[in-house]
Amino acid sequence: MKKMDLLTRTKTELLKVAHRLGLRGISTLNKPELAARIRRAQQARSVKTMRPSLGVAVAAHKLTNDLKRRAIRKRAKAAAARARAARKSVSPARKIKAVVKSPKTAAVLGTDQAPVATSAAVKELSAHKFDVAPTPAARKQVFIEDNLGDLPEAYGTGRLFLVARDPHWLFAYWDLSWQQMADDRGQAVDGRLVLRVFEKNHAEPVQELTLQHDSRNWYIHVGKAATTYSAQLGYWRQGGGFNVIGQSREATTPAAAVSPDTTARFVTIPLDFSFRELTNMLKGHVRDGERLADALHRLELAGFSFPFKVEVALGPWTAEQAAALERLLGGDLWRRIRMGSFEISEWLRRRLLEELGSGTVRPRND
Amino acid sequence: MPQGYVALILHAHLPFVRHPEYEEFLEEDWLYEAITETYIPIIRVMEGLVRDGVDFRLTMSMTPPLCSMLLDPLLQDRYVKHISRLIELTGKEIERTKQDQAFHDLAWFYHNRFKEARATFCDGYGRNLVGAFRKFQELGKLEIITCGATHGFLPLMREHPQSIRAQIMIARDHYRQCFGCDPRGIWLPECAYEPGIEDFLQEAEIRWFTMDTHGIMFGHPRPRYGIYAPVYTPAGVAAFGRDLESSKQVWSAEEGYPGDYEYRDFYRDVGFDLDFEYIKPYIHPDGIRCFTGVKYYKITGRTVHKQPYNRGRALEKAASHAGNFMFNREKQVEHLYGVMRREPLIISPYDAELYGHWWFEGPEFLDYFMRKVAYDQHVFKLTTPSEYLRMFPTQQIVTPSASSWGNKGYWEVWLEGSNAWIYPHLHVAAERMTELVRHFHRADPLGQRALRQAARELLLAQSSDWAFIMKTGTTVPYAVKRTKDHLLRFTRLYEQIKSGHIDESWLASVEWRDNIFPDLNYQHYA
Repeated sequence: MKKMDLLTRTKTELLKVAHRLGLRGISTLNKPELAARIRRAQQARSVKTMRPSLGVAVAAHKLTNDLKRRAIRKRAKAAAARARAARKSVSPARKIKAVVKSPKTAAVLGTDQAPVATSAAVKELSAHKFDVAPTPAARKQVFIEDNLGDLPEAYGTGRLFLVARDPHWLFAYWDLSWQQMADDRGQAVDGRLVLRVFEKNHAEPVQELTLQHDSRNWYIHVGKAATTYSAQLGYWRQGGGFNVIGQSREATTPAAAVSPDTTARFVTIPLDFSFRELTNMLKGHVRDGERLADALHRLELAGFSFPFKVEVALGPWTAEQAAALERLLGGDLWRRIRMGSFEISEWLRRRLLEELGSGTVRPRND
Repeated sequence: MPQGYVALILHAHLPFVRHPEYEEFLEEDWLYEAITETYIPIIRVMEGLVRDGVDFRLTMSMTPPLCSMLLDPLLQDRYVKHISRLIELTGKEIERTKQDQAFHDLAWFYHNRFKEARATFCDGYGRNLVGAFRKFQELGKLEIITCGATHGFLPLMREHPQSIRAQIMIARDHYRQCFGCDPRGIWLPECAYEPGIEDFLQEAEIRWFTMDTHGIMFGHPRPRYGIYAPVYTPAGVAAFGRDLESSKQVWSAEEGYPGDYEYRDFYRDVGFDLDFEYIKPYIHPDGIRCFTGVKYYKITGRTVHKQPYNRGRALEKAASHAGNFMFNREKQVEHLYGVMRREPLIISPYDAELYGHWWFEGPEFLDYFMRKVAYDQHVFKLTTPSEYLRMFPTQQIVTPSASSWGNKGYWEVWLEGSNAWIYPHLHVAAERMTELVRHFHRADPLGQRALRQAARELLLAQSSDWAFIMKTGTTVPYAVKRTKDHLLRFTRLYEQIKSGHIDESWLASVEWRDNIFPDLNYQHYA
């Protein structure tokens, strides 16, 4: 019985089921709590006996008969549609997939029991969920109750995404279905897709990467901080010419050193005037594309009258001062400690597990 | 006049973990432990300071998921059950340790401490810890700032700026509900910044954010005062860079305070140490041993033969570390003032949960530090970034550099082999959310409910914690499951809204589970 089925029932109906299950102390519970108790009782029984007891089965059956039939009809329709789609598919790989899928469909359709998980989901559950679950059965149930399926391998938007991961690496992914990629490869002179990386204001690509068949993303070592790049996904046509499938936006690698530019512009931005108020004060004086702090700075320097006290410079700044501060901040001081709480607690957990493993912390009487 | 200022910033955050479909859920313990060991102790410290008339300043980011959980009646109920069980356990421990004075004293110590925690939680603040923190903000001692709505990693949303905008605007809306005013500051999730994010902050009237050191140091042009003064981004929003010297002093593995041998040992816990049948009712129902928070030993040294914890001696150590920390800040401020000829600002941001949960004596360290600063020196004053900006509204204009506080300083922790697979899905979902909001601007009430829920699912999927756990954690399956579930629920809602066939009973069950942001305004995605 699925959670949402329980929740569509009235509280009185749920109370009846709870009584049949022999649950106690239920009169003060609200509906969701009651539903949760019923589910737990059912799970506990099915875990104990491997099969629901007759009483549970009857209760569950009575409660959800209609809903279940409807759900099964729906699923059958969807499965039929999927099967049709699979038959239409021309690619051999798709056909193989359809064959792999069919046992799952059968598992769902072939029984009047509560829906069982697909094989992929069960595998995933057994591999991933049980180790932290309060109870394996309960964990499994959550995953099943929505019957959400799995994420698609791609959406086929054709998007090429590019981001600078750090000063030296770009990361790209492309959202193409297997079919789209196969079709594109079929058009290519060498049967390969190509990722081209351009530095801004350079006509020729700085890198041209031939991609592996099944790859959908790539880490690109550019090794150049504070530089703007873009990327193209495409292939070389028979008879020459590059065909572009996807064009990324620009991505700029972060700086990895202090800026050589030591000009300093100061601006007064009083906290008690909102950005909206400040923007209104500047109306009619802001140049095209000029941003708030820049405009304030220019106008403060020009002696524009503001309803607050303005400072445009902050005392002397000598080479000696700059050198002294540089010494303080020099080296790799700001690279050393960078740990968040999750990082530390995860590190602790790992260390604890290691210690447990090595026997230095030994649980007694286990 | 002080020669400089110090601002302590505590980032309080936990991902939204709430499972009404289970009676007990392992990962919910993150919240319960943090309440007992971190949030309540910090509240108690502030109560004491206010009671004694100590003038202090503290800044805390309280993220929307954390506030939502603290305000949630189900989790509040469960916390009371959780702490009551610990009170029961320590009651038995008092009996069990009768023959051993050191442990007997500790059993009493925990028993009283847990009872106090329950009293603070239930009687002191009517289960509303958000209200507790709000009280100290209204007294002018604590500045509370916001964060991304669900701690989403903003630079990796650049392809779809509406998502960045929604993370910020929904966080602001939620902050207003929690604290009755607008947030002036924000802790960018994972301190992840790239140029352009300040424009959304400007729109939200957020005046400042914090960054890691290199974000300021590598800014353009070169920041004259380094990290010892904030800079204004071109949008007018100020950026404060973290001071590493003070971070190092607290957290370095070799020189940091929390490793002192007198402090409480984190690993030895009765959840693992005691007889299974005895401890069974207080660990997880399926018999998985876990931490209970009752820990009897001190770090002792590099040995497995731990000695019993001595609370009095540990507190003496915390006081002496606080004195040392203050002394070093005095020297640092004096030196910087000499170089800069203007008042430096030292920004010390930390994760709140490290205080108390990991470093058990951390809240007392803060207490002693703030008292000593008020009475034992005149070199510097405590401040908050907003207070500092009010005093010093003139600063340099600098575009900070893209950066985060993750390992190596950029995006690598959240974008690598274990977690890169999530981004194509997150990006498509983000795009679809905007498509829905634009297309269904005249949705009926049921459609509006579905749109709100779709936004909740997208937001929950975007939480940077999942990518982080995939990279580092022992609870990887949970993080994967959460990411997939929210994305799949989003997809189903998207399809139902588009087709005009919304399954109301299913929607209700999803609303019941993922109930964050009840008044969410999805127009922020338009």
